Amino acid sequence: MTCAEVEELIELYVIGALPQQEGREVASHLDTCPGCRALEEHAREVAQVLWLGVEQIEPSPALRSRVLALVRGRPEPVPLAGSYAPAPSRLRAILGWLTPAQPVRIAAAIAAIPLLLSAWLAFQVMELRSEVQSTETALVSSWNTSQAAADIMGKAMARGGAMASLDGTAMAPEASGMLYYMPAEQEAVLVVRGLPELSRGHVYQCWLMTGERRMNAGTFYRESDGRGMLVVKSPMAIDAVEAVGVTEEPHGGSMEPQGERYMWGRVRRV
Amino acid sequence: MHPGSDADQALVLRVAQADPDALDEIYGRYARSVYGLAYRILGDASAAEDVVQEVFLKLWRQPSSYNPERGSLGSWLLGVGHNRAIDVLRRRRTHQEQPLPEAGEPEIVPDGLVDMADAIGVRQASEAVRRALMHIPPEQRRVIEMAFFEGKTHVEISNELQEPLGTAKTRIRLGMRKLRALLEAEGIVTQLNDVR
Repeated sequence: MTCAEVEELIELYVIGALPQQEGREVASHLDTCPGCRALEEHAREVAQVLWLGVEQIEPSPALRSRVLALVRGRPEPVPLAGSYAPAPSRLRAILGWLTPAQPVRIAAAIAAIPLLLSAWLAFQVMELRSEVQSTETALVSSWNTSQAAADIMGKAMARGGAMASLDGTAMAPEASGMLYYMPAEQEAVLVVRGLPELSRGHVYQCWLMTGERRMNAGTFYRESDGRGMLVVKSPMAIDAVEAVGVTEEPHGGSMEPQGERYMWGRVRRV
Repeated sequence: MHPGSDADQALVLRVAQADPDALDEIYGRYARSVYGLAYRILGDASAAEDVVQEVFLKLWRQPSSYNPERGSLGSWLLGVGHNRAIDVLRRRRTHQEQPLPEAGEPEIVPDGLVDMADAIGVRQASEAVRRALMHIPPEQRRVIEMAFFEGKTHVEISNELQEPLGTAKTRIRLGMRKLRALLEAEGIVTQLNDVR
């Protein structure tokens, strides 16, 4: 491209009105031409002050708190995958039912019931105890996950940390997300929002992509408000990964991506 | 004209030393502008807040990516915010056609929370930009808004307005040059002679 051609396009270039190829040609010329670079800087001044013509709007106070918490290494509480929030009250309800006084009343009631019904009731009690233990285990697991996520995000927000943004595909145009990580490490936290509800028996699965390789990074469920979170464990340093994606898979996940892709983001430039 | 530039640069130096209070102060100065711009482009409060968060976290993580020799801190923050918001808008448009926010008249909201010295400088510049935009022909203003606030290329603008390919190009170029002349007269941007 000649200087005359660049001079004709420079205003379009600084406000982003050039198609990609034309923009690259102008940028390439500017790399080698100080005279045109000076024109570009001057034209950019006008683009910069255009922003001053826009109404200033106060964002929510919560945003300021969130940003400051992130830079102070204390991530704001993040939503967890799955429905862990109601579980404590369910647990309390179940534990409350299984108080020491209850077994006595249950035994008395069972003695008055035909044998078949007693067996059915005993089976229900066994199922309930198993559910209590599962719920306790799930709660402990959720707590450990949230702690791990907080640690990773805290490090990512500190010096040397990194983030990669994800956008929704046609399957989830409103979705967006962020992968928080330390470049040389193999753990990261994926935080997403705006995901649609999946049909029963399906789960979101995260994939780390390098070349043709698709590495399973874990599955997660969507909260009722469309948010989700996953602690990602990678077989390689995160900054060696090229991209991260989220697909819909059957419950339990898949060995390879099978379902539709809902989100995608680039981790490093190739 | 870079209102508060010395104070801003001192704050950036503190950000580079990992002082969160310095970032908080910068946030207090510029978040309204960055959010206003992102909201103007995206028309969605939640998406605009995400852009604001990314902009200030970028400054926190990579303070060296701001070069004071290339412009004011405010311009840099707004530039990063503009680029990110346009990226989001273009991805949305690629996946699903959505109604875009009305490209209405830009308005200035007097802001009593910014330091008086900064407020005067920013308010004066904002009013000058608004006046300049009103003084260029409406068809030139329209295509500049379509490019700057809607992220459209001159090809997309020509198609949308059903005009010859070169017309949008010419209107953007002439509109921006007219704006520059008006803003130079007000001392908002440097004279071309100072640059060559």
